[in-house]
Amino acid sequence: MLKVDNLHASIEGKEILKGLSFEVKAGEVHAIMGPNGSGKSTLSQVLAGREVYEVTQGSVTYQGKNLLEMSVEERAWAGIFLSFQYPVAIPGIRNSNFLRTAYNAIRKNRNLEELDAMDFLALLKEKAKLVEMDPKLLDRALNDGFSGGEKKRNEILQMALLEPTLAVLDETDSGLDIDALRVIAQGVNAMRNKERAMIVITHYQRLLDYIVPDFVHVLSKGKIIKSGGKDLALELETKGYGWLTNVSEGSIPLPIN
Amino acid sequence: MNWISANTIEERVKDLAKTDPKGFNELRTNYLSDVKSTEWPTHKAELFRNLDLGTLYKNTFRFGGTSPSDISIETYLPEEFKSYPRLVFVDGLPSQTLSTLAPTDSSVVIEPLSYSSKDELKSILKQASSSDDNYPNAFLKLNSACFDTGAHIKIKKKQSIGPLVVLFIATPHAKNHLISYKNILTIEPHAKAEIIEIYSGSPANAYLTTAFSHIHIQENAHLHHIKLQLESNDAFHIGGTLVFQDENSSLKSFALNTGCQISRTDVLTTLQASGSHCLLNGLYYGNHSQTIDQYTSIDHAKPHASSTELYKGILSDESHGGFTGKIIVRPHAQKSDSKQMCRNLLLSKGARADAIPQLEIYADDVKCSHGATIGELDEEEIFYLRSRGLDSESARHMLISAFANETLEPFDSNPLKRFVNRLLEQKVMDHG
Repeated sequence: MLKVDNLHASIEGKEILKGLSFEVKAGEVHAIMGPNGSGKSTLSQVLAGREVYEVTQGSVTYQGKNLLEMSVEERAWAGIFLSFQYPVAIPGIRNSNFLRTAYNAIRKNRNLEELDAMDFLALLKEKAKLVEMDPKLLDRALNDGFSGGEKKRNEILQMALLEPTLAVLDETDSGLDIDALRVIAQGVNAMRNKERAMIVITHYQRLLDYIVPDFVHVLSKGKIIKSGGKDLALELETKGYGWLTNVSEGSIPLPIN
Repeated sequence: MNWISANTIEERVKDLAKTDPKGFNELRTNYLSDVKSTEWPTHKAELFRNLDLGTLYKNTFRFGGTSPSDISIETYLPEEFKSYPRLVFVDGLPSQTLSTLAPTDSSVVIEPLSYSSKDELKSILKQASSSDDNYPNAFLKLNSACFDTGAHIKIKKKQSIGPLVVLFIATPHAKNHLISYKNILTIEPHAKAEIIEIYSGSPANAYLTTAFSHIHIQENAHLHHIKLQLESNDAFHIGGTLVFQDENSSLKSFALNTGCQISRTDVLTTLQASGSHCLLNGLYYGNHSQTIDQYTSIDHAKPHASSTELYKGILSDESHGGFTGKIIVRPHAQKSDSKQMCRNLLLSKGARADAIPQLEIYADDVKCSHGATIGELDEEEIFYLRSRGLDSESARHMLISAFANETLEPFDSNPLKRFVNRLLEQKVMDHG
């Protein structure tokens, strides 16, 4: 479904991704782990098409098409969904209106019938239960004054509505208490199926107790330095990232005189 | 400057004096000498500091006669307001055929200016004389010397009327005309009204409208006053809403400015008794090389009155928006409470916004706040919306609407909200 090959990307002339390669097939859940500054968020933003990042080398193929040539919205129409680490808050846009506009924009571009306000509301209420979201949040302004957990629930609610083919979850666990984490993971797990792939980006192994991946990749300094099964995450939890990143550099820091 | 000559104005006053069925002759003549000696304002005039009227003065205007009345109202009246009763003027004259007023009993007066409006205007202007010095607007003098008609609305004690449209149409016949409207509105004690003034013109038509509404909201009366300036893109509009408020009265004003090459729309209110309250909101949207200027003044003349104000500007292409907000708190107006905010959104590199708060506070026990911002659309917000499947245009439209809609929040009128959002969508599609 998705093939990332030797991907290089930079922002304001600074290279962040330095030759990243991996492949995701339908039905698979891949975890991408790595320390701060390793390029995790850059990867998620590049996949979603954020224009401030410049791809300087390599390719990304999604469903046989060149993803890098697609605009942000074209990617959304084609089934790519990014759950933001920091969802934006926009006072003045009512959450339910935003959700319906997004839902219908995607339906329209997939040549599906758009839903009117009444039908959409019924669908929205049903999906909101999946992430145990307070219905009052649907009438409020988009993410405005939402707690960290409420924002993340709203992200997963959007994912449930938009039914993506490839979902990229960027640090979905950050800022969540254990109960919220459990609820959100349940919501995500309910959407796992044979057609849908997911890329779960996280700093900590904790999330992967709840969303169990098929593959784990360790990202460091813009490259994948190790890939393995779900056990790799557990290994990282006990050993930290140091044993891997040092190996990858092939050197041991020298004491400075 | 010969954009309008003293002779032209004098002839106009004489013409109107030949038959003077409404009895305004004395008033017009009084203003004529003022106008003849007036200097047309440049940026040196305090009240026009922000506004370059050079393009206006390059035109030559004259007064026009009657225009054909076989025009289609749909061209000029936004569909959202078509079910409301309306009083219509075309090119400076009342149009009976286009007006759709239900017969009214003696509880309300809704008519073009008549003989009975004269005394009311006099009594309103009497209050104004004390504050004339604060508002030395040469175009108001011009308007007072040259007006012949306008709307006369009077809501009698304890009466209430639903939304009423007063529509001022400028047809292609108005080319190079100076059109003057003077509206007189009295809301008597405990009465309620919603009045929507719409100024609408055919495209590519250069004319000048001066339109001033003199309003008296008496004790415990409430007025929603909505002014939509949708004049021709080549026209000029200089107008004002001049209000006096009595005890425990309230005014909610919404001013939308979007037409014209150059427009200037003022809203002034004098809170001349305790317990009075005003809310002045405004929205201006400029594109091409439009200049859209607004001036507001809230005069806290007595203690225990409150005011809130929110103006927002959206400026695209090479347009220029200006806002000057004056707040006066008189020496004895203790416990005045006043909030002012002006926010601007620049949609292009060439657009410009000026926001000037002017606070004159002579009392010590008051709460006054003000603020002004100028910003751009947030790239991260656009990205977020696009990542959810909205195309670039829809994402921008959604953010611009969100920005603008805050000014409409205090208003219950759904037709108004629908109209403004339709207009915004069209503007965003045309100009981003």
